[in-house]
Formats: sequence, C-alpha cells, structure tokens
Amino acid sequence: MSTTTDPEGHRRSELSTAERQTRDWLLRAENVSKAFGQTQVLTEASLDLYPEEAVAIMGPSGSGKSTLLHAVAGIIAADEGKVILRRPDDGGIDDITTLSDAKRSAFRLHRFGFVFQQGMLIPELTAVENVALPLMLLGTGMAAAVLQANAELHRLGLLGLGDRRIGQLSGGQAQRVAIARALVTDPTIIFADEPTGSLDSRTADEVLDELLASNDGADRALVIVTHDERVAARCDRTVRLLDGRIEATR
Amino acid sequence: MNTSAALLLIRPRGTPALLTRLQLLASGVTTLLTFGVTMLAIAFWNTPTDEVGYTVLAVSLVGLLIVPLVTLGSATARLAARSRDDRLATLRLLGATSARVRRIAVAEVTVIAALGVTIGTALSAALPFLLSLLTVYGKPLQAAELWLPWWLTAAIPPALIAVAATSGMLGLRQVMLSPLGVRTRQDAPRLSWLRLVAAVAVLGIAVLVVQTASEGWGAVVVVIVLAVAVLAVMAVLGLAGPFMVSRAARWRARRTSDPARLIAARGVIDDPRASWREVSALALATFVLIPAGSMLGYLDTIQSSASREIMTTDQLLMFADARTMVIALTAVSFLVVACQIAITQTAAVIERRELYVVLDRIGMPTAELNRSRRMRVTMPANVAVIGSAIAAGALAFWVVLMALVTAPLFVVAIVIVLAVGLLLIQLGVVSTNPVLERVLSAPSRGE
Repeated sequence: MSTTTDPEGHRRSELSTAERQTRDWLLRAENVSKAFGQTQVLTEASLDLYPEEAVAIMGPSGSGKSTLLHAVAGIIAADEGKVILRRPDDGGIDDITTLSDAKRSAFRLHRFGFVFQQGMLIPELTAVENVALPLMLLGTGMAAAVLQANAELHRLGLLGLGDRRIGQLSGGQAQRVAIARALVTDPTIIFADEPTGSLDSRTADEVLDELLASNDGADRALVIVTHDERVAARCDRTVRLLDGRIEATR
Repeated sequence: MNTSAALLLIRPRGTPALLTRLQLLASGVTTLLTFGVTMLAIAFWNTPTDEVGYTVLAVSLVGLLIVPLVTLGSATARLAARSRDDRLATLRLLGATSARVRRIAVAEVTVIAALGVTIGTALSAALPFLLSLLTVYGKPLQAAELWLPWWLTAAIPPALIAVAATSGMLGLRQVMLSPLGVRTRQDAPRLSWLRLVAAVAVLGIAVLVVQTASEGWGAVVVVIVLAVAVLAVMAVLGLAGPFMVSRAARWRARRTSDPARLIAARGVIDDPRASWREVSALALATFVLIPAGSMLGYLDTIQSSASREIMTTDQLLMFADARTMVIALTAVSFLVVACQIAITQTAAVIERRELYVVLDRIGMPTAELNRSRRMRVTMPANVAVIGSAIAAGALAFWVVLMALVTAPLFVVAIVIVLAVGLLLIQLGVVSTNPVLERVLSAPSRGE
C-alpha cells in the first residue's frame, strides 16, 4: 500500500500524478458530447482515469459535472465521442458507448461503484442487506453476500450496525454503508456525486478518508463530483468544467 | 403566507398531475360503481316475491361491494395526499404551520375527489339503461325501476366526498411534515400475535354458530345470526391479514437470495397494513366466492336432477339471480382491486422515484425492478386469497364439501376465477411499468 499521512492527519497517496499516468489507463473518455433537447450540456470532454487515482470534477451549477459523470459511467448514452474501459483480466477494451441500455446497466453492476449525496440507500433494507444487494444482483447467494457485506462494514468501522435500518443510522454511518455498497463488488471505478455534501465537516473528512483509502493499492480509480474546494484539494487531480467544456486540469 | 401563494404551490404539474388524473378517474369509477350497486340492490329489494332470499341478496350486495368501493376511494385519497411531498415541504419552508399544510393538502384532495364524484354522478344517468340488459326474477330490468329516489341520489355524492376527505386526513397522519421534506415514519411496525389469536377465536365461534344454527330459531334470526357471523369473520380478516402478510414476508426475506424478492418482502414488512389494504377487496371476494360458488354448484346439481321439484319457482329464479350477483360481485371486486393496484403502484413509483433511479444507477435491470414491484403486491395477494379461502372453507365447511362431491366443476371454476383475480392484480402492476420507465429516463432528459 502506497499511502502516507499529511500534517492534518489525512491519508495521502505517495504516488505522484505523473507516476500514475505512466501506467495503463483504466477508463478513457474521448470527445464526449451530450445535448438535452436544444441545450448542449457537454462538449467534447476528454478524460483518462488511472489506477489509484482520485479525480475531482468541479464547476459551477449547470456546468455539466453530473452529465460528464453520467456519460462516463454509462448512465446516459453520449451523443458523440466514446468511453472505453480496460478489462482487468486480459487487458482487452470495452466500448461503453456502443452498448444498449440493458448492457450498460449490467456493465455498471460489474465494473462500477456509486456513492451519492445522501447515501441513497434502500430504507426498508438493513445496512448489511443494502451492502449485499449488488452481490446478490450478481448472483451471489444470500449467506455468502451477507458474509462479504459484513466484512466490508467491519472494515469501514460499522461492526455491529449491520442489522440496523438506514433510518436508525447517522448521516456519516449511512454514507459509510453507501461506500461499502460501492466497494463490495471490487469495482474498477467508483463514482461519487457530492458524497460529503450533506455531512458536517468532521464527518465529511472521515467519509472522504474512507473513499480515498478505498483506492490504496487497488487497481481502481475514484471520480468525485464536488462543489467543495477542500474535497478537490485532497484529490490527485481536479477537472474544471465551464459551460459544458473542460476548462482546466490541475 | 397568503392563500393564493399556497394555491399556486399546490397546483399539480408534471408527475403529480398524472396522479391527480388517476385520482379523478378512481373517484369517477368509485361513484359509478356505487350508483350501479345501489340500483341493483334496490332492484333485488323490490322484487315482487315473498322469497326472503331476495332481501338477503340486496343487503349482501350493498354490504359486500360498498367495502371495496370505499377502500378504493379512500386509498386513492390517502395516496394523493401523500404524493404532494415536495410542495408540502416548500409550504412548511415558507412558514406555513403543519396544521395549515395538512388543511391545504386535504382541501386539494377533497376538491379533486368532488370533481371525480360529480363526473361519476353525471355518467351514472346512463346506468339504468345499461343495467336494464340484466334479468332479475325472470324478467329484464326496466330502466324506470332503477332510478334511485332523489334523496339517495343526493346523499351518495357528499358521502363519497366525505370518505375521500377523511381518508386524505388519515393518510397525512402517517406522514411527518417538516420543512426539509415529507417522509413516512421509518421504523417497521411490529404487529402483535394477539391479532391472529383474536382472528382464530372469532372464526372458531363463527364456525360453531353456523354449524349449530337451525330452522327452529326462525328464518329471520338465522339470517341475522349468519350475517353477523360472516361480518365478524370479514372484520377479523382485516385484523389478521396485516399480521399474516408481515409474517409471510419476514419468512421470505430470511430465506431468499433473490434481490428483487428481498426488496419486495422488506417493503411489505415496512408497511403490512398498506400491503393488506391493497388486496383486501380480493380477500373479501375470495371469502364470498368460495361459499357462494359452492352453494351455487350444489343448487345447480339439484336443479338439473330429479330433485328439481323440491325447489319452488321463486327459488329457481332466485338461484339464477344469485348467480348473476356472484358474477357481478366478483367482476366489480376484481375491477376495483386492479384499479386500486394501478393507482397505489403509480403513487409508489412516484414516491420512491429517487430510490428506483439509484437502483438503476447501481445496475439493477429495469425488468428486475418491475419484478420486485410485482412481487410486492402478489406476496400479500397470495396470503389474502389463501387466508380467506381457509376462513371461508371453515365457515362453510359442509357447503364446500357438498359442492366438492356433487359439483366439482364449480369448485374448479372458483379456483380458476381466483387465479384470474391474481393475474389481474399482476396486470394492474404491469400497467404501471411505463411510469417506472418514465421515472428512470427523466434524469437523462435533464428533467
């Protein structure tokens, strides 16, 4: 594991961006454009994601941040451009943009993890069932899925809370459950849309620590859409969008 | 905040407008069916015969169909009140008190219900002509005989509007209104075993009473006793139903590896009363259909045998009319259930839209989401049909046994009719699949 701790106590990766980018990319988006009706929301956006990299996507409201995330994650189909993903086993390439809606859905289940602003967990399920759900969707039996989900919850400091319903958890705990749900299938990319937006600053720091730590030593990248400069400062790269175009990359 | 600002906020647009249209439709259908049932009941009541069975038919028709009709009206109003969440939260944020928000929501539901009832009442003018296609007491019904007295025509619409307003108020009691949003209470309710104990006790007493009833008590007393026994068992079905539904869902949730089934079962556990309400009309239809259908099978055997002579002409005519009534009862009950399911499921998709979007994001196929929604309804429906069949079988044990022996085809027909009912329920859910697809595609259109 290639991490260290900064003076503020935050975990930091020891690898520089340049070092990371000498490796093969995990996901490549090339000249992706998207319009909703007459409104051009995203114009020729390109983005590469590398292993162990955390990339923040920033920009004012309406700049196309969420659309970029949705297009890259295969939630929506891009009008132009392509999004390709390297297979971890044989290094082959999958083109998400050519897949049907149903196949993109299966692709997301197998290869991506998602964390949303308020967790967006299923309120009637227990914490452990929420985490086990993606595994069950992949065909894992209930007992094995629950075992694996409990291990993930344990790793995130939620031991003993697995049987609680989501309404019985604090905001920070619920967001950790969401992170566990995103991680449990060992995805290639984790997409997080304002994951700390509804948390107090201390809890937000802790949740961000967990998210960044999930990349350590893993053949995985993390993409965070955020308005928060402090969150972006802790990522390896920041992509800034304005009026649907990528303006700058730090 | 002034009233015009509040009215501006609660005016339905977009998806809530779809729900408003559904509420309008349900209020209209409820009104039409209520008028139709009342007209038919009066036709039975006014039959020129001393045969007490016609009076029983008239009372049974009203008693058995008013319950599902009121359930449909009230379920729609409850859900309509609960589906205005974001606008209700905005009103709270703008400074309206919780009580005022409730009053506004109930007023809106009542106004829409009143509009639906008015349309239904106007359309009911055509009912006497439609119902005159039916034959009662061996003669086609005359439209002129079916017009209701003015006082009854005047009383039905306000009664239906009052049911909608009361139900809207009760529906909002389940909801926490805060400026940050409206959400239903989070904890899954624990239902007591006492519900089942009470139900079994009442069923046991009812069976005992039905078995010991004899001609010596006098016809009127026997009819009253039987009616009370039937009503008591129907009432305890409503008491035991949510408990049984909850237990069955817990059993399923513990054993399944199927994510769609798990989500469905947990959803039922989360609100077993609402799950039961959704299928209660089917439970009632089953409870009536089994003894009534068995009795018809038995009478049919007598009618087509040499023993036909033991039946009077009046009895033979009443037998034919009872068959009409059972068919009408079943058809209306199933129609009501299918309507109710379509409405509640539409409201459920709208209420839980963010959740469905997230499940779609993480990769749950739309077909699985729809399967889960279907199971959330069929799980309680199966419990309702099986539970009611057991209760009805116990209460009318000898009639069902005689039908099994003398008219097994009738029993098979009953089973087929119930299977059709369950299928209709599934179709009710399937009819709302486009609503889910619309919800899932909305974000990609930037809505």
